[in-house]
Amino acid sequence: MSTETKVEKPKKEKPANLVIPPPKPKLSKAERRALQEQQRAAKSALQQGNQGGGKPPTNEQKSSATSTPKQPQQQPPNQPADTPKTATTRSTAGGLVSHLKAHQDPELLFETGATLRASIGADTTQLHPAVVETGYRFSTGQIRGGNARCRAMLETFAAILPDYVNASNSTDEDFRQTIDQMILKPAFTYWTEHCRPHSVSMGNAFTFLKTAVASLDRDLDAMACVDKLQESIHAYERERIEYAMAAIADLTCQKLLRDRDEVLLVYGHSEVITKILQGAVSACRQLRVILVDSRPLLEGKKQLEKIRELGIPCTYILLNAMTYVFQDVTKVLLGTAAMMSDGSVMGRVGTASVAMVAAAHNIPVLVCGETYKISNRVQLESITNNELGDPNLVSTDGDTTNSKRLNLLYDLTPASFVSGIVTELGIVPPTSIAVLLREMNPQEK
Amino acid sequence: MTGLADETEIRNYLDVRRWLEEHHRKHLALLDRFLLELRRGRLKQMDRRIVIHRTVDFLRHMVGSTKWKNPAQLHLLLRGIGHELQKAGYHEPSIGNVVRRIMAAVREEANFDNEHTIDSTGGRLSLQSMLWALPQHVKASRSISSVRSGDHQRQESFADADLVSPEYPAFYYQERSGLKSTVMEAMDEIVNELEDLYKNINEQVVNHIHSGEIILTSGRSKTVELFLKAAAAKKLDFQVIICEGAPGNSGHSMAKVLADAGLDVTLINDSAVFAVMARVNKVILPAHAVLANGSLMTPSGGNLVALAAKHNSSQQRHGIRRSAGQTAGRY
Repeated sequence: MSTETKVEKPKKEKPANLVIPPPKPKLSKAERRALQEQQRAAKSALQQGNQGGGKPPTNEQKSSATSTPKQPQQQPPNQPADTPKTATTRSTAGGLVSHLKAHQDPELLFETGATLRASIGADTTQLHPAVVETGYRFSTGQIRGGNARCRAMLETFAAILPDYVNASNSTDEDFRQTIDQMILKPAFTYWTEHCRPHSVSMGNAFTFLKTAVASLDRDLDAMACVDKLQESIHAYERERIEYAMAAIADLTCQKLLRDRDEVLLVYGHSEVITKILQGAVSACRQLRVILVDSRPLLEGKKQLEKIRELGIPCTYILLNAMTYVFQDVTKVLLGTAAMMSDGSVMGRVGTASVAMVAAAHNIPVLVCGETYKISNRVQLESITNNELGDPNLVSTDGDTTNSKRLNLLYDLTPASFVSGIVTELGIVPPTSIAVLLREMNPQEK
Repeated sequence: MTGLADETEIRNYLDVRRWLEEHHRKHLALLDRFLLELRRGRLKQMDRRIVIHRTVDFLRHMVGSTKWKNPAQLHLLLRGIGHELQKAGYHEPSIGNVVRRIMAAVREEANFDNEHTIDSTGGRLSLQSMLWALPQHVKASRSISSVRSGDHQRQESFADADLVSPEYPAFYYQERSGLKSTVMEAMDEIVNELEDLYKNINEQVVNHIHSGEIILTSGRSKTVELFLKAAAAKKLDFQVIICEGAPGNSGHSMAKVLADAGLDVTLINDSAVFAVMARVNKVILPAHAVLANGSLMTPSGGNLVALAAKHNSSQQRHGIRRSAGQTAGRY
């Protein structure tokens, strides 16, 4: 570090090529405070920018002349202190997750009305009530999990389509447009923006739906369109979800599980894992399960009930106790929310920790995912693309200026931790996910 | 009870209980009460220094008011007490360290003034002394530390009885006037070291924490708390992410305490530690114990944090208290 020595320059001597900036106006103490307050207000306005706060007030107060010593009155138009409580609770961690959408409290999004669920802050007049109801269930977490949410979305669409047939029966109107613009798109947008960001499974299913609508025959009348669409929806559900789960369970039981003395470690709640365990029981495999659970959602309790129904001996532990049980474990089976094209796996937060400990103990980690959950995104680590949950589940103390709670819902397991991915098309190494993606979408480059 | 010299003396370290029962009933009661508290695990509370203080007080009482006569007796007494304490308080390694340290002080005092017999360097034996000394001499000094650790590798040339009741060198049986005061001094030294404990650690804070960093820690620990507060006091601008440490959730109170001190804290679940590790610069873990092979005992969940940090190549710092024991392990 260079040391700067202060040299007392006599005021008369000035070297020739020294450039002296013009002297700043001397502000009085009150003026300085006013300037500071203004800058502080401007800074907070910038942070509240997406509330429609407008541009921060420009710095015009530098001149000493006429600024009054009163507190500055210029505040940005939407000063948050006075507005009523908004639906979003800002929960950032020093900017770590400021790029993620803040969690929306369902209490503030929905009215607990008498008959129909009504949404606050969103225009739902054009939406079918079933859509709002499903949205409510997404928002409160009654429907949780990739498969469950996707199924709920598809079934909602299948159920509401017939209701639109009587409304617009005119023959010169293209019913496909109607479906797209009036039913599918608004509902999906509503769910994503106002209830809960959609999962990869929902996104892929929605893409399929749009393609199905576009490929409907132009000459079909409304009712026939609806019938065909419902058929497509049910076929998709059957093939890509139900059949896929059954195929995965079959593959796992036949090729991966031992006949006896198998000790499986599973994490949280996953439909496909339940299917695998059911398959194992009916194939008379002798196994026991160690179930790892974690706060705040404690989804493992749901899984525990299902395992007990199957009669499989089960040990239930929390995440921190994992290393104690790992010496007995033979395999780790994990569910997933999405699979990225480089082989990394997006799952419930904590999945990566389980895979990491397994890798450290050289225990194989098998991720079981249906192919419709494959995403063509590449993600390097967990924070770039994630979802924020309710911070009150982490701790009930409120957020203060310097104390925040962070509730991440997903995390990314790197491909190096994963030994194999079990899909309905087979057991593949994580690097082959890109191949599967290409196979499934041949028209895309 | 007067009688043969045999009965008033401690024969071996397992004999201590009988000896106390015969000669010092009250002390035996005190020992039992202390053992009960240790077993219940109540001593720990928030500050683990309490354990040290209690142990030192207890030993002070034991050493100060019992009728041991010479260094050998005192050494056996301490060893016996240590053996009992270890059984009850095995989850607190610091207790064993305190006892061992006092025993080392006893040995040092006993070996003092005896350079002609032993070339002593702080109570340890040199090769010359081992070659020239009596065979029991060698057995005695080695068995003290190795039997405690269950060392079964040594050849079975030593009879079992010798391990339990070692023969000390002759000068250990001479009465020494300054022994008690020396031992008391050693105990005071231990307690005094505890006072400066945090100061010494916190002096190094500028070497490790810099402005703009994101530090991660897990659960509640007084050492880490004071370390971070010291960093904040030095006007370093950093953020702290705290894992809650389920199911005890000690991280919640840690977050509150640090936030009240003005630090920028974020509380996360243990499951999210891998997810946020990509953004973390440094990890600070509290140490329950450091073992002889370099392993670290931490509150549950430290393993996950350490593995995640290694995978993301963050640097790790173990928060350790200064050593108060010469033998293996620190607090």
